[in-house]
Amino acid sequence: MWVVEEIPNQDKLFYRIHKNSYKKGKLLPGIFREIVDGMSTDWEKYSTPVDSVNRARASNPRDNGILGLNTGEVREIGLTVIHNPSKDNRSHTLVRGTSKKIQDDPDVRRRLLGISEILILPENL
Amino acid sequence: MTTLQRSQLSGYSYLSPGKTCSDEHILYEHRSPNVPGGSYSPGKRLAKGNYTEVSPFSDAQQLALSLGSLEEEIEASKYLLELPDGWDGENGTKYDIRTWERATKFLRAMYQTAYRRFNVIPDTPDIFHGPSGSIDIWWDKPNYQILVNCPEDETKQVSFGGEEFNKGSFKGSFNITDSYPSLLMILIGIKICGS
Repeated sequence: MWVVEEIPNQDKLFYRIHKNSYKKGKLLPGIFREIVDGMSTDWEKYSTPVDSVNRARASNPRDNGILGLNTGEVREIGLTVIHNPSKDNRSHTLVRGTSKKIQDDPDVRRRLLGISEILILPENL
Repeated sequence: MTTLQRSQLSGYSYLSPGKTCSDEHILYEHRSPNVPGGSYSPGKRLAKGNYTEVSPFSDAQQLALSLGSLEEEIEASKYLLELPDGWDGENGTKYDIRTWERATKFLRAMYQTAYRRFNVIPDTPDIFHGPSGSIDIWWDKPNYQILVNCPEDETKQVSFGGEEFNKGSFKGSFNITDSYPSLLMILIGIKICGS
């Protein structure tokens, strides 16, 4: 099993988005959500945007894109960033809200959208 | 003639301590370019603390014209009712029409109150599918952002967060059936006092 590491503020996290995350040419603020114990992202130290988009299990990778989030800016919003490697994915990292889940806090979602950088657009848009 | 006194707004916590609306405001005549003889024209400066508008239309006509873009957005938002299970490539579920009806009823009521009570038409937001069966109402404007979330569970409050750029941020929640939600006062404040 991989050792859990502290993620530096300057490092990027990759977050997968689906083609239905777009409407009117805009990225929607509803894309940010925790599933079970956090919002799943990949740490750039052990992944690339292409690796992350190809890791989509449930859907066609061409339906997906990748956002980049700066770890320090995510923490400034008040979110917790925890390296959570799994057997298959050493880069796996969870982002969590402190008092409530990310999807239940529109201000946090608005601010996450503001710091998001589109690295890969879904091909099937 | 509708009159809005400045003191009606300054009592709300939205305004920073010591901050008031400027002494003069430019209000826009809500004449629609879509009707014969209609056009948008620059507003005129009005007397201190006393806002009036002159319109060639009746109150009902005025309201219908002014809310036209909101109705267009509501109509466009019906797309979200067509999203199938798994719409996000994962476990996204269908949206319940009752959630959409609550959200759009709330928006219409708030805009009608804004116009009838305060003689202000807030900017038109986008209406999008939100997380966990909820609906997002999103004002992404050059001088401010507000994201409002209407939950699928009707017993939960509507929550929102936003920022007026270079002025400050705000967040809160309210009951969707409130006649004068805090959000309404923020939108009116931005429209009247915003840059």
